[in-house]
Amino acid sequence: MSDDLLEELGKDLPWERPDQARREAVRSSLLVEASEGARPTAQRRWLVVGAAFATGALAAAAVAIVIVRDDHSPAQAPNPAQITASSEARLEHRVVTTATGVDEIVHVHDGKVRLAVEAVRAGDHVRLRTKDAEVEGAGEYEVVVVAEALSTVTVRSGTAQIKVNGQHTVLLSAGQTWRSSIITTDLSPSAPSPPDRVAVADSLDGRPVVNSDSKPAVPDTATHAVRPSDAGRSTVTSGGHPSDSSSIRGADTDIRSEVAATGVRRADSSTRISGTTARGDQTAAGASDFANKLSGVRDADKPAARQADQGVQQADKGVQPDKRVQQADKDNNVQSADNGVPADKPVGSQSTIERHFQTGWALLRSGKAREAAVELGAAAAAAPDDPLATDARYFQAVALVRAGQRPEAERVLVQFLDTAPRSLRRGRAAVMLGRLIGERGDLASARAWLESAVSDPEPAIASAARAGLDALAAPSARP
Amino acid sequence: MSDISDEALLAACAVGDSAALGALFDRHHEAVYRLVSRLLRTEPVEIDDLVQTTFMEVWRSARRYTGHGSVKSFLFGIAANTVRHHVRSAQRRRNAIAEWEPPTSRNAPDDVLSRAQQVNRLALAVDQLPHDLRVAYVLCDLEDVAGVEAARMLGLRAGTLWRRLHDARRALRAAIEGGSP
Repeated sequence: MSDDLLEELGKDLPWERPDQARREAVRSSLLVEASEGARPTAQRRWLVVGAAFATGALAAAAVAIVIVRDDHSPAQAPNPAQITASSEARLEHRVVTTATGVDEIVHVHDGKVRLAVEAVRAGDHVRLRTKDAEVEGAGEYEVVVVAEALSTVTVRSGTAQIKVNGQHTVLLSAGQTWRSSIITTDLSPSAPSPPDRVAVADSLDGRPVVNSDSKPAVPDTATHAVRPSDAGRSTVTSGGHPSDSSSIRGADTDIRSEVAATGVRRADSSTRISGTTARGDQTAAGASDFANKLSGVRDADKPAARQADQGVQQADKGVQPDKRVQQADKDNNVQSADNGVPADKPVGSQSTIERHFQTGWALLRSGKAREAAVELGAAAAAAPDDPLATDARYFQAVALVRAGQRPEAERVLVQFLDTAPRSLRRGRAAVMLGRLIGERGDLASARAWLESAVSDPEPAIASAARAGLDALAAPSARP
Repeated sequence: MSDISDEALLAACAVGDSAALGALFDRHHEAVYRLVSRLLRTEPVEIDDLVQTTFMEVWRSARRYTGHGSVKSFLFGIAANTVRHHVRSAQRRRNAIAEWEPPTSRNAPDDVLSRAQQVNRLALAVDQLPHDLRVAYVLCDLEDVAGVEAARMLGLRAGTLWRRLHDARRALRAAIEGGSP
């Protein structure tokens, strides 16, 4: 037997070809593992070395300063800033001499960084910067930065002052946590922090849609508008409704503030995990602005995402031609309805599920549907019983539809409908599922799901379900 | 990302871009599955693990890619090493071989049946090859990796690889022609 024949026979050797489900499972696990701190080795090593070096240098400098000051000017306080960075953090550290003193700047791109800043001399500063914000504090505080945007600031001791571009300065004291809107990276500073459930609704085809017609949500009794004219006396709570423990935890600035005459909000200790609520004038004035910005984000979608959307939109034709659900979610208390969980929950550090959810949501907003699906799936898996997991599943399905991963989207939708039968999103999910199933020709099952949504309290959903049923009944839909 | 080269994707992996890793997986997972499952007969779930481990190792060591050889070869080198580490457990390997049953073709014409039998014999013979010989055969003959490149990815001298390939072919030929096993 010749080598050629042996080689030819070898090409026929069986091999383990993965099916779609296995392939997706491996892919998802891989990306989750990669996103959970497994940065490339060399970079991680470099960061660890860098952080260790910086910490060591700062410690040495601090010791030197203490010794020198002890000898020559004991009245002056030392100026040590200790930086502790997580292994995943990406940061730059530089010290600049200014006319008034020394400006120590830690620019954080990603990850978690803890700063311990002792008393600084007048004119000296220790600042932590991100692309969108600056934090300056005295004491110990911890900062989480996601994709160049400030995400969370937790003050352990002392105080910290947060300046987010275009927004009022916020002052935190020990024990308080500030959390940014999860869509910070998508918006310019002047935009409002839009409550996802108020200004943005997810359409039936899985594409988030801006409700430009929606009225700004009326602040509930527990939430007061921040109006410039109120400066100096209004007590402001940007937390959620007491019954609201919905999925957008972390979307708000969890601070009850008083607007001082200088425009500086001073936070008290009533930190909350809040859902989406109106933000008074910010929501009112900025809703359409936000709509425009989000449209811009959508326009920037990649071709692949567009194709996925087009595929879904084709399916729309049978159900709801050129009509998206332009309806704001009213379900600020969806989770309460679904799960009956208590509203107020103290925020310590961000939990795994929240971290995954926020990242997934940001990815979904920025058009990275595939990556968003992975993150949202990780969020749902991180704490399946957490109220947030329900929404994570729903938005995972949305992301999967947008990514064109329809079999997986079907599976997740079924799981969502199984685990949250009373969710206000149930009808929407059922229509989406019915459409996916109908597309692959299983008309009976598709009909069943669509029929289950016909009586949805949301008129747009009920209408979409009826239109879908009509489309299935059309002769062209029959096999 | 369809218009981005493999090299660019690997460079993006090196700086922590997980989307690039996803794109690399989409592009090359079939080849890696094929290679891994031909290097080791075992349960599908174990193949999945090995493929995942391979891509994770690609993610971790993307910075080590120097541009010598194709990205696919780089992937294959990592996959081969991953499998090699895995089969160090002799017991695991014996179990895997014992559990595997070669596919058979039924109701096929005589000539096809004959070829199917040959393929079956070849499959069993490949399983019984020493792992080093098997790697050489699978990489060079089944995956068409150039000998010099295969030697580099395995950290061998070219002569060593050729000898292993020669030994593998001889053993396989004997197994098929001799009717054994």
